[in-house]
Amino acid sequence: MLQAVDLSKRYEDGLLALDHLSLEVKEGEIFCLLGANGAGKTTTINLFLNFIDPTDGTAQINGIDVTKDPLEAKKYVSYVSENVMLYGNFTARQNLDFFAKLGGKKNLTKDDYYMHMRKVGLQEEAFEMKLKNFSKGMRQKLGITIAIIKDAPNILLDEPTSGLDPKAAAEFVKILKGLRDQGKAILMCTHDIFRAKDIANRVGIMKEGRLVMLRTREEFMEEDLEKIYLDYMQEAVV
Amino acid sequence: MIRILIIKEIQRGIISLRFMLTMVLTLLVFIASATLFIKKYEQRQLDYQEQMLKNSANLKENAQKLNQLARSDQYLIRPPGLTELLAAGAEKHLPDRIEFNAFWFGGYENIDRLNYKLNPFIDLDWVFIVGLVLSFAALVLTFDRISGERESGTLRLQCSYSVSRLKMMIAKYLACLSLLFFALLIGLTVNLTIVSIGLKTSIIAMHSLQILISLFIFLIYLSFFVLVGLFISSQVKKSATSLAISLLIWTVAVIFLPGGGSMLGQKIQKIPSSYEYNRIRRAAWDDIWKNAPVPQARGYWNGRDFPYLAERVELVNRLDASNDKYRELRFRELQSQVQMARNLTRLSPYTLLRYAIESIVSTGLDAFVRFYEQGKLYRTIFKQFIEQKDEQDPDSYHQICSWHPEAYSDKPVPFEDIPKFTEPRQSLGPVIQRATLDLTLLFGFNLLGAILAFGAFIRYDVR
Repeated sequence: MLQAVDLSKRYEDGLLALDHLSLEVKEGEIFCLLGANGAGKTTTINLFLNFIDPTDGTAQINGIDVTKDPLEAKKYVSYVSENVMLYGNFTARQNLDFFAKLGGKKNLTKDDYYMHMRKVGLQEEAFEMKLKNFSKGMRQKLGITIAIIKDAPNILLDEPTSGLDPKAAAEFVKILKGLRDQGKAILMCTHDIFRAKDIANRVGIMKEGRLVMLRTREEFMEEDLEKIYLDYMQEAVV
Repeated sequence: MIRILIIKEIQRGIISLRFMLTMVLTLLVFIASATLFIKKYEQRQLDYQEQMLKNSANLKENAQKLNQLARSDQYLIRPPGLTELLAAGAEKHLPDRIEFNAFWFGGYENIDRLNYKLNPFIDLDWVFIVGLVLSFAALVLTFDRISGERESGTLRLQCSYSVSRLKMMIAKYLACLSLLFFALLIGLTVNLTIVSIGLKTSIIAMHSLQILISLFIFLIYLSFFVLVGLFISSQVKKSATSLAISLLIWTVAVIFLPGGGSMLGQKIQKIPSSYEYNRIRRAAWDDIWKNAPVPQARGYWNGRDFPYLAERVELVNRLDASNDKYRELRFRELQSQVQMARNLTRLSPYTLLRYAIESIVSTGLDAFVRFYEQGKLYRTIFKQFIEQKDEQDPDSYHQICSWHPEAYSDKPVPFEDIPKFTEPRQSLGPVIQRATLDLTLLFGFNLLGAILAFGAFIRYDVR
């Protein structure tokens, strides 16, 4: 479970990037955070990963305060970024092997890696290919493979479908649904309202560091989510 | 966990182009170093043997008469050392022999070259290779270890795992140091093999301890540059900036500080020129001559029957002692000036490395000064020997001085009885003691580098 309680972040230059955010992502749930650039989505992820310290409030992973015990908290979370960047001069195998071991999975075999790669639609031929020869879609898939191998109960995704072609994005969404069905708590920050609508159990819209709207799947399916989102965006522009 | 991180860092390093280039360059310079050393050593060995034979023949010839032996110029010759391969110690610019006789000392050749203005990068010895080539490689291998990973995004992903930054930094440090050590070890092995085959002598068997200690010092030195590279990489967000700063720091630490410190030393501690020194020495000489307590002692010398023989001999000995005093003064002033410059250049880790290795392998200025002291001691023993032999001659007037051989014994001396000069072998204790200051400073640099590098990475913004 991912939980933000009154989470705030003010940067040294005075910018309030996050303003008392409270949210909870439960097991078997995909929570999509929507919002324009600078709304505070990535700051939220950075706070969950303890890349920055909160000014106020707490971010908790499985009930562990990430500021107080970051190493323990990080055991229970996987992270996939907008541009999955792995070691370009390493092969997929070397990358998988390194991050698997880093996540404590030390005895995985080649077959185990193949199985996980197949789950995300990566062919076995890619196993010994250097990452620098991967397309963005393949890299994203390998990124999610790494997250799957870690097998953490919580997953943080930062614009994971950005830049993917429609087919790759659709495949990615399918994988996420599978992970949700396995009981993972998934927090996904995205601009992509259509993907959010497709997979989210709950959607939150962020603006200027605040969570300005929160809807369950039942609620947003009855509403015109696109219009609500656009209204917020236009307000932001104005 | 740390093992996994180290293996990953080593793998990254090994497959990188810059490591390949480091290996190739290191091998090439070590091969060149060995080849040049063999040529130089063989030549110096020949010169040494030739000079020793000449010296011995000269001594034998002059042993026919004690008064001739006392006045004949002898040379104490420094043998070329195999350890000059490790640190040449600017030996070719230091005097390689001391000229003396029973009455004067210090006619060592090239005394004016005994200064710190010598170009420190003249010999392709191990210190040069590690000091310049591998320290540069250390920065090239580390400048993007953190900033580069931040740029590529892998640092962010790694930091999302349950891994402490301390462990990540230790892994990067150890991996980079291991890569450099590997390159160094391969280079040294090739170098030693070529030298051993070329000179038909095993330098490892003869100097294994010195080589091992030197290897350890090389590691400490390289460790500092790895830490500097990691520190800079943890201070900036772009690896290009890191590279630029690293190169700047390397240039200052390895090129400018050794030279700049020397020039500053010359400015701070000025000493009289050779001309001025000779003028002062001559004035003192004139003063003694003019103010002789018995003026008649300065009269025309007409042989052993000179009426003021004892006074004359005493006057001559005072003149010789005065000359000796000023020669010694000049030497000490030069030594002190060099020491001041050396202390200033200790700001540079390259200089510390050079001094530490020179202390360990007994080359360079300090080794020359020890040789000089040993020479002085030998000259005292030699003079005592002359006095003892003279006392045994009933026909001698026992008035020993440099001007009047008639005044003391002219009997032959058995060549075997003449004391021979041997430079005592250095035991490890004093050798380590001499290197202590430089080693302590190198450790200090490392400690500072570690505090800065680890501190910077703990606070590094990985976003």
